[in-house]
Amino acid sequence: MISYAIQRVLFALPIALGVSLVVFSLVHLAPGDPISAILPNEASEEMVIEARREFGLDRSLIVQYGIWLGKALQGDLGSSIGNGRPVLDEVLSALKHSLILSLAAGLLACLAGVLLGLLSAGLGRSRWQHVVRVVTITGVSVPHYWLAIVLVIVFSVRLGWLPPLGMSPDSSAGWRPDLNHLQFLVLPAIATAAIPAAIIARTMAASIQEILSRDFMITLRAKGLPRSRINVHVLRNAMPTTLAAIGLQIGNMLGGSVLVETVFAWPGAGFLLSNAIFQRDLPLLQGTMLALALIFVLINLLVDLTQSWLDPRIRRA
Amino acid sequence: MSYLHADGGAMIRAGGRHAAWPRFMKQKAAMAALCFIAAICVLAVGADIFAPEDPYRTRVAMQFADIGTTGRLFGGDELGRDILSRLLYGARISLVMAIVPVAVALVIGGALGVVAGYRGGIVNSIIMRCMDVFYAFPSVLLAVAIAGALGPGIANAIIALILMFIPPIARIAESVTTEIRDHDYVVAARLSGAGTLLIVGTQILPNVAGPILVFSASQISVSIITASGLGFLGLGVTPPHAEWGSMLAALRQALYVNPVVAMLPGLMIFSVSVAFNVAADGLVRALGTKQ
Amino acid sequence: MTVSSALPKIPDRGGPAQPLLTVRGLTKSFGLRMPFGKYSQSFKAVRDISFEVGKGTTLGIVGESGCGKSTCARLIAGITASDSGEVLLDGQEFWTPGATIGREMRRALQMVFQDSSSSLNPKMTIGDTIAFGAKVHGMPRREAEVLAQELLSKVGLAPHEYLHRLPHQLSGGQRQRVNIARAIAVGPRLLILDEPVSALDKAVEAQVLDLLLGLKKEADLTYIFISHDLNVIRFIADEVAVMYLGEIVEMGPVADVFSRPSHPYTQALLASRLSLDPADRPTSAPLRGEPPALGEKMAGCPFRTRCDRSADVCAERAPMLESVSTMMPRHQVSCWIANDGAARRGQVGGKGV
Repeated sequence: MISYAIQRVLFALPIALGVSLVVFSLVHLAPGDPISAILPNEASEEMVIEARREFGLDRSLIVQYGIWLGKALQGDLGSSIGNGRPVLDEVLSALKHSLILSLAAGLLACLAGVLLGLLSAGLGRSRWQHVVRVVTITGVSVPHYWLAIVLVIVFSVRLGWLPPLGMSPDSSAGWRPDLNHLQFLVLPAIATAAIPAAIIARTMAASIQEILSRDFMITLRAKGLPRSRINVHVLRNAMPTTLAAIGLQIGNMLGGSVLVETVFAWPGAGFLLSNAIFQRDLPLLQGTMLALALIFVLINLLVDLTQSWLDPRIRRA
Repeated sequence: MSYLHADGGAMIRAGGRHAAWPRFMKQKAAMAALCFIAAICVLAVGADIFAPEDPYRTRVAMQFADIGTTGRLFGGDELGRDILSRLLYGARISLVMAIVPVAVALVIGGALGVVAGYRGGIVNSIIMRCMDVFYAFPSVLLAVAIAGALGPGIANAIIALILMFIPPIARIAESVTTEIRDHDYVVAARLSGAGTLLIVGTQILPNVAGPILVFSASQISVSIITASGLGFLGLGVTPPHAEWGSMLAALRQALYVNPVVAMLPGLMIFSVSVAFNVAADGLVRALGTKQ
Repeated sequence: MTVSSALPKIPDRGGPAQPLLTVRGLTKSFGLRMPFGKYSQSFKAVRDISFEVGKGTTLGIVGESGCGKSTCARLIAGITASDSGEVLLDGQEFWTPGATIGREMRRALQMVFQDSSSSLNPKMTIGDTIAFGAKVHGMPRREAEVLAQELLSKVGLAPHEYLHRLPHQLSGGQRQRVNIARAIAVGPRLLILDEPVSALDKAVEAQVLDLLLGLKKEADLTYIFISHDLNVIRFIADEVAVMYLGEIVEMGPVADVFSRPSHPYTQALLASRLSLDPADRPTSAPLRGEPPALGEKMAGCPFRTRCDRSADVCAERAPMLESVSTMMPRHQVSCWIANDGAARRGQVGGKGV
């Protein structure tokens, strides 16, 4: 197990390096001179040249990448063009908010997903399976940003129960886990959790179905094992696959909630990213992408290790 | 990583199943979904005929007009334009952005995956490790970042979506190709003296096409959600062109005034996405799932 | 062969005295994949195998599963790249390690695989599968179709009924007939049959074996027939090679090897064989134990861990394949104790026998 873990970690390193290369290249995909986004429109020729030297843009791309990577490894992601603050600080505080949202949504998605998954297979009634199938297909098909709008219309506009946007009643103070703050979390969490919950349910149902069809289930039934004991076997065998789905979905939420965060003006990493895009704040764009992708790699690594710890058969060579 | 990747039931047995169409037709839900998609396509293509109004004609008096208003059957948008007409015209771009990225990614990702799977060894390592790097980004984030870096516009959004779909399709293609490349019938074809291209064309492709196509079909629904999401963020079409995602974003202004109208574009995205998912699910069932 | 459309017959070069196939020093190691992706260990699947197959004869290769007989077949056919060794076909080099085989050379040697779900392309009709090879070698489409029909009837399947069928619509025996038809469609001289009847039931097995015997005569073929079933080998082969752990431990004419098995492994195999004839039952004990694990390094004779008559020399040096006696030069065995010559050289201090 330990040598496998080391192997997986070593495997993740070149991936992380590739990720940094992709993130770096992103900015150079952008049409036009990145300098034009930094300087005011009326900048003189000398100012442009000066700025190019200052940002290292006059060097070759490979050298630029090396310098950028070296700084990034030391935690220096440059400073935001928009407000001049260090990108790392911006990203970290946004990530904290994203984490809150992801945890809440992840919890919700797990609960709903596992419940639906159990319902579809555990009860063994075809009518229930049908209902769950309809619910999960609807769930994976829903545009989450639209669901967010519908939730706002119903619970904020019509019923007035919950706040339509923001993260806390007063924007200056930090987030605290009290009722005042939690009410802001409800709608974004539901919108973020919808698709992941459906995928978790689908995966779990498929996994349970597959296990029920295996030969050893016939053996267990033939041995006259009580139903509850059989169910324990089924669940234990469906666990690794379900956990993998849960892990992947939580990773996806952290980075993929750009749209929900935008709808609710939730100041997380996704919101930061979309702001960076529209202000053409390239260092901020790079920094946010890099942080999110690295966290995603890390989560994938953890999921992989947990899964192989639970079920040694699935270790990849 | 992407939304459908985790679905354990979507793997199809490589080769061997036939007469899938009659089995597809027996499924009422899938047939209904297919008919719905066909109807939307017809409406989109014939928008010039079906649309009651010029989708660009503004009328201040009709701003956020109610559903059922004469001349604004599905209400009016923030500039008083006819939402029904804009939905019909918008279907063109939305459908193109649902299908084209997956189709192009199918060709590129499928080719990469088949080459990686068939050649194996170092070629496989190079291709698949590159795919792994793109896999290391949450998929929606990748699309948003690429589209964002390239700047707004349909072409850029489509490029971003293509890049998002290549890695998962390549992975499926690689795994099914690897599975069959050492089968005895492929070896026998090699023994008969056939070259690589002929073997891939006659022995490999016919047997891997099914699973790759089914997986790609299941990605169309993801594509329309993400494409409209890009439009919603302002990374898709440029105004005044109609596209469901950007319409949804614009109509957020009507949230308090006329919430039902504000929901309409999203309802279209949702229903088309459901239809593609149900149809893809029917395809999986018709071809027989691997259990 | 009496078919109206066929690829040109490959001309004979060396005359009947020249063996059709000469295999020299064939060796192949596979790496056991260890953590960190390094080949930290390897085992020899096939070690230093040499033999000849005379024109128009059948060589049977027999051994337990995992002994390397299938790998051996794939190495000879050039499907798997070998580490070293050479293969001559009618005196001409068939391949060298690392090189690709020319198309015309290629068709001289074809393989028939064990019937399984993967032996025929599930998406191709039977007719297309059989015609495929001929078309590769430049036969026009129409002619190749005629050839496919003729070959189908040659292997005992009604052409009009089977031509357009798909593999899953056929029984195991029928699929195997198609496999044979496909192999002979390109007009080969040598067929390597890798467990061709192992998946079939006994009645069908007999039919397929009869078909193979008939075709061999008619199409002037030479066979290498791989099987784990000694009865099948005895029925079809002229010579037999017994393999154990990637080596040939005994080789010779079928009659000699079956009547006077010299290697303890051959004796054990024959002893564990099913026979209805009470007289046809050798007395030595059937095989005990399991072959050693992959990658286990062993000095001396590879069989000594399961042998009940091993001597000191067996643990020290590996025996070579040598003639059992000067009386029977073609019956060779690789055993310190069984081998006359080795024993006479006084290297055996036996504790068994």
